[in-house]
Amino acid sequence: MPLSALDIVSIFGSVFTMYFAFVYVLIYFFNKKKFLSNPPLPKKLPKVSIIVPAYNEGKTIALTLKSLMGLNYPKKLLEVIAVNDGSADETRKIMESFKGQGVKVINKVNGGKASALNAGIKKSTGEIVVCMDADSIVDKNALRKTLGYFSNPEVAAVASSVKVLNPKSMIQKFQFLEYLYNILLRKSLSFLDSIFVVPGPFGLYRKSVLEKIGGFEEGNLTEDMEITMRIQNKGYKVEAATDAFTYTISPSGVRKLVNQRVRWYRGFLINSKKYKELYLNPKYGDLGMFTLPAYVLLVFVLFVLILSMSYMFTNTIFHFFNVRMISGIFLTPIEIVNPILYTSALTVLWLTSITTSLVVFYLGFKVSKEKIKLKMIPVYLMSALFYGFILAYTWSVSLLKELKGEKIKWER
Amino acid sequence: MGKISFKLYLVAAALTIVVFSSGILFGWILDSNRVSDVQSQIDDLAISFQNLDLENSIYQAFGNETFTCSIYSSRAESLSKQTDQLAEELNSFREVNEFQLSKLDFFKKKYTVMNLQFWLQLVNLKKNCDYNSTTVLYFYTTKPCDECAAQGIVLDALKRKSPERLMIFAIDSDLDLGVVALLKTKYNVTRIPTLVINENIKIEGFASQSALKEFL
Repeated sequence: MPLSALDIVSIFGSVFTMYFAFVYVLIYFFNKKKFLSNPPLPKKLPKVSIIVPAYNEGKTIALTLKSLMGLNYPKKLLEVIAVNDGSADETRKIMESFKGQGVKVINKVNGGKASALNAGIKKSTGEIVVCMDADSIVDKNALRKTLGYFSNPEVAAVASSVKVLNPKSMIQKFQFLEYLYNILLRKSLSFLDSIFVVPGPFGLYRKSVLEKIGGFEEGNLTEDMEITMRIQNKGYKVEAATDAFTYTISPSGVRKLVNQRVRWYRGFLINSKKYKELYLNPKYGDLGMFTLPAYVLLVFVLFVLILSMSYMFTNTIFHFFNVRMISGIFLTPIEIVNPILYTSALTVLWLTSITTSLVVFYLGFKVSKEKIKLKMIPVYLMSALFYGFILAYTWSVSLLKELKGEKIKWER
Repeated sequence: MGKISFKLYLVAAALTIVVFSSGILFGWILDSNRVSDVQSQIDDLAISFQNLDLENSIYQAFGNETFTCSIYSSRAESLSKQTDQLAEELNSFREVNEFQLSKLDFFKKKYTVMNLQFWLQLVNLKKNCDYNSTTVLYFYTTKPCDECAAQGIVLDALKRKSPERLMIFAIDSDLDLGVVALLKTKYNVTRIPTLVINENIKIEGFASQSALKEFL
């Protein structure tokens, strides 16, 4: 059949995604050694202050603090500051129960995550400041694997590798996969000096830089992305550690996920607007000329691909059943045909595009030190079908809200 | 001026082009495969028909006229199986092929001409011999048409039940071919799908299995 407009769109989309997959994969193969290892710890270990802002995190804060207590790092060089941002639950009580183990507790009136972080930074005494979400736990070696990056004086921030903690529901399993992909992506982007978000669970910052550029922006939807973009904007470097793992609790249901992502994606839109000079500006190298524009384009492609795919899918299903309704014959004999005789050029293209994404996901598993489990294969397949759809939907909601200028409801 | 990794982007682009074009090449090879598959089936069919004609002529030349009846009726079933299979492939290949579509269209014309010659022979057979299979002309379109697809399923099911009693001749009504135009005018085909049963009963629109059973 001659190509329809929909076919052309999906060809363009699959070639485009293939291209980006190749960029990541090539970065991996060009820098394999650096990709899979971290620079050694400096001889003179720096003092590290870990700030844990919390607002009504009574369910998880104990786990977070416990994991921080277990960090493999000299106690006298480690300062943990728990900031209770006016919680109404038992957060304060739990925080104070850790005082005996050296945790400093700050109690303040509610002002949002960024304000809590800033309050903690103000009290901190370390050279390196670590921001730690109160719903996450950290691997005991994470600090030793990340600090080496600061030996380069240009480096202002280092991201850890975030994984989903105990994925149970289907939605969490989808996110588990996505996070592995993001670990690979973030590491790849570090070779292009293009990281534009140091995620909230265990993000490291050089305190002197934070003081110079000002702390976290209060009231920003995604303060972690804002500060990363600001750091990039001021010409510092952002790195990603390879196997410094942190584990975060991820939304368990679709609605919670959509809420979280609408916040993230809207945050991306807001901060892109704020730092629009980064876009297509050769001064910012790969970040400005490739990563950010490509990211926007990729979201757009994802959107169009998902839309055309779901149209084709529903259309085929509808006609399949409609034809059977009209004919009154539901069971037609299944003919066994030679698959090679019925594979179209488009299918071949789809298969190559799927293969490249499989390679990318394989590398994601490898870099994240996860094993591909056979019994998870149905989940992987389902995520290909449904997760993209949820994300595309969320992007459109975020864009609509931003265009309408809907007021930001910032859950503190 | 920041660092821009031109080399990386170029290598990735080159790799994409290589993979994309090998995908296209592979697709083209698959398409050609299908075209040659159809080609050989068309050739086979042509030989079957020519051979039948020749056998018939030889018997007539040697004065054994009654043989025409038996030779055609004995071969009708297998020939119709062969033509049906070819028609099915032609249509589904036309859907999956992106390249060499004009060749497939050409084959379809060739096939349609042969198939309608076969139909005419069966019509004559019914007149002159003791042959009483039902012949059905089925006008369809390859454009999106759920009723046609449903009609196809119904005819398939009926044909499977009595392969020797039912001879179906599917005609793509959009085919740019004189004989198709002629038949459409002769039977005044204005709607798709349309069935003409035994050259005189016309059913316009979808005909269900039960509606068709009484004619068979």
